[in-house]
Formats: sequence, structure tokens, C-alpha cells
Amino acid sequence: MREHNPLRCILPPNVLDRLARSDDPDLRASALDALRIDARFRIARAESASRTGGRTTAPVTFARIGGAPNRTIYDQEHGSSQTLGRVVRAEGQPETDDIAATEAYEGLGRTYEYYWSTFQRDSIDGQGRTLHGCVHQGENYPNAFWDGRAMFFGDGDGQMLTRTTAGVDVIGHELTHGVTQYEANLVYSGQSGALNESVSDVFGIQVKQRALGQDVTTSDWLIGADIVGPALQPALRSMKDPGQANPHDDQPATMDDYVPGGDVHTNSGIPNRAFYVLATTLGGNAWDAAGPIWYAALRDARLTPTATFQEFARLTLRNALMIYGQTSSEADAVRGSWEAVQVPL
Amino acid sequence: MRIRVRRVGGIAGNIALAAELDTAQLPASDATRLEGALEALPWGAPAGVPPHPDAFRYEVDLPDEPGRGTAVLEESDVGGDMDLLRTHLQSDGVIESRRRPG
Ligand SMILES: [Zn+2]
Repeated sequence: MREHNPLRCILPPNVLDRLARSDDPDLRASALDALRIDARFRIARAESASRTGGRTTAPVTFARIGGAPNRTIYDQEHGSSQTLGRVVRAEGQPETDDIAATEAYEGLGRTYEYYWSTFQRDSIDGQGRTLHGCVHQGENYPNAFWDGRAMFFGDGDGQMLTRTTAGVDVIGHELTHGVTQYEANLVYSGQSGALNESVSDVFGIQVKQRALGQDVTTSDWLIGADIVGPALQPALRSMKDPGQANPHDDQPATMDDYVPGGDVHTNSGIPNRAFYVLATTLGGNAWDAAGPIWYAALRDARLTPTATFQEFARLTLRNALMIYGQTSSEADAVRGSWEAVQVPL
Repeated sequence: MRIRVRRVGGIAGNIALAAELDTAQLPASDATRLEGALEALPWGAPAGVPPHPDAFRYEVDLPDEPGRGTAVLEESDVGGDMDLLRTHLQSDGVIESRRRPG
């Protein structure tokens, strides 16, 4: 095993330059080693920064960096501003007695862990971006959202929603909006908007399943079960049975019931169910094959910001064929999943 | 003046909350402020793409003036004098059942 080189982490390049000319051979070797790492890191950052648009060509990561989240939790103190509030916990600091702050910190960590372990994706941008979680947004605010920069969590109105940090699937959902922003950047209206929402549910439920050690048969496939109040019991959405999550749920399960002009959270029921069918057909953990197929489609350069259900479906099949082969059971299962929701391939 | 307001979107965007408010029931100063604010709304203008995922959006109608159409507001628009609508919706709103039969 290589020894840890402390010079890699703590010294600026000008100091390393000086140490690299030291008379001490050990110190000189350590400094040169640190400078090599530092140069690779800076090149990667520059490549990333030079890219334009939502999609990165590939997450630029190294085996020796990444794998650990960088989280900051803010207390919005019930204000409605989207300016980051008072820092209550930074990465590595001990938990406070604020349960919302603790849940947000843990949920961001669970989500980071899912993306890193499954796809070696280093944070939402693939570049180790800091995850900002803002708790106690607004007064009794019944919502959670990603504003392109940070996640905001309301405490709920007690009727429709309760404390929104309590749902690890919800935290995964919101962070995945960030991932989508850096990938296909799906336009948030019509079918591309419903795909944007569905992708967030698809990866949000996997974050929850992985955190709870659930496979496709033990998962309830419910979104928001831990944050709904009495009016929306038992959940916001069901990926298994869209339209049946609560007495007011209007999600369609197939294209037969597609709602023209419907909310993006309504028609997302169709691709949500396609993913459920795929994952349960394949069995095991949703992140073994179904998740990687969906992730490959999301990252596919052919997926445009205004993609339709059919365009996305075709990319899931193309990626399944590419990853698992022409005659694979995975590709067959993808065909079956879209057939089940009446999206023609 | 009767005002109908619906809140759509949010992470629970497959569920809408709706309320009706009559400014005749409000203290005179509140009624004047709210009616004044309503005049400035973008009546009938097409809604744009929400500013970010899971944003709330407010749809405002005047049942006695159907010719105006609907004004669609983002969360950032529902402050100041319009905040009365938001707080009324929060306290008296009813969940709309849009669920299909069967
Ligand atoms: Zn969402």
C-alpha cells in the first residue's frame, strides 16, 4: 500500500515548487509527487469548466479523488428567500439537535453514495460539486425543490406534507434534478418535463432502496411516503401503480390515459411504471441493471432537452443492447417495459 | 370581487390545491390592496416554463370576469399585496380531485 502523502492535500503550488527544489531527497520526492497530482486535478477542472451547456462528456474523476461528499447545510430560518441561509453544518462536523439539518445531511450523503457506488459519479456534476441543503425554507412550506444551485426543504403544512427532509427518496429526487441539469437538461414542460420528473423519481427510489437495503421485491415503490400528511396518505406517487398513491393522485399508468397538457408530475407516471416493470422483470436490486440502463440513456448525447417518451424509450433500448448484447434478457426486458405502458419503440 | 386561485406544481405536483376568496369579506384596506394588485397581473398571458423543477405556480381567475382569462404567477410573484391570496390558499384551500374514475 502506498503511503499517504500529506503534501498533496494542504500546500499551495508555489510552496510545493519550492519544496521540489529542496536538498532533502524525501521531501523533494513528495513535493514532485504532489505536484503531479495537482496538475492532473487542475487539467480536469479546466476541461470541465471549458464545456458549455448542460451535458458533460464524462464525469472527470480519478480513482484517488472522489468518493466522499462535500455537504453544507443551511438554516433558512423560515424565510422565503433563495439566498443561502446560516451555515449549521459543514462536511465532517458533528450533528446538531436540528432533525431537519441532520436528515438533510444524511440524505445528501445517501444520494452521493448511490451515484458514486453505482456510477462512480462524483456528485451531481461529476466534478465533486458541493451539495448545498437549505432547511426550514418558508413558513409551513409544503414543498422541496432544487433551484439549479441548492436544495431547499420546507417543514410542511402538516396536512399535505410534513417535514420534507424525512424522505430520503425526496432528497434523491431533488438531487437528481441537479444531475439531469448537468446531463440532458430536459426542458421542464410537456413530455420532456415529465421525463425530467420521472428520472428524479427513478433515481430517488433507488437511493431509498439502497439506503434501506431493499431489492425490487421488498421496495414499496412509493415516492414521498415519509413526507405526506394525513391528506395525501399513503404517498405522493406510486411507481408500481401510478394513479393509486393517494385519493387525489391523477397519474396515468399507460399512454392510453396520457393527460394532454397535464402537469409534469402527472404524466411522469408512464415512464415511472416502465422503470418499475423493467426492474421487477430483471429482479435483484434496481441498480444492478435497470438503473444503469436508465442512467446511460440520460447521459446519451442523443437525448435532447425536448425528448419525447418514445425518444427516451428508444435510447434505453439502444443502451441496453450496447451494454448487455443483442440477445440479452436485459434488452428484452426493456422492450417489455415500454410495451407495458404502450410507448412504441 | 371573487377570486379563484389554484396552486399547482411543487414536488406534489400531481395534486392541486384550490380556494376562492371574496374581497368583500376582507377588511377594506386589504381588499383595496389586493384588488389593486390584481389589476397588474398578466391576464391571459401564456405560462412560461417554471423557473426551476418542483416550483409552485399559482393560477388566478376572476369568476365574474371570465373574459380576462387566467393569470399564471410564479412563487416570486406571490409576495407583497398578493401574499393575501397565498395565505388564504394555505389556510382554506381544498385539494382538487382530478383522479380519473376507475
Ligand atoms: Zn421534481
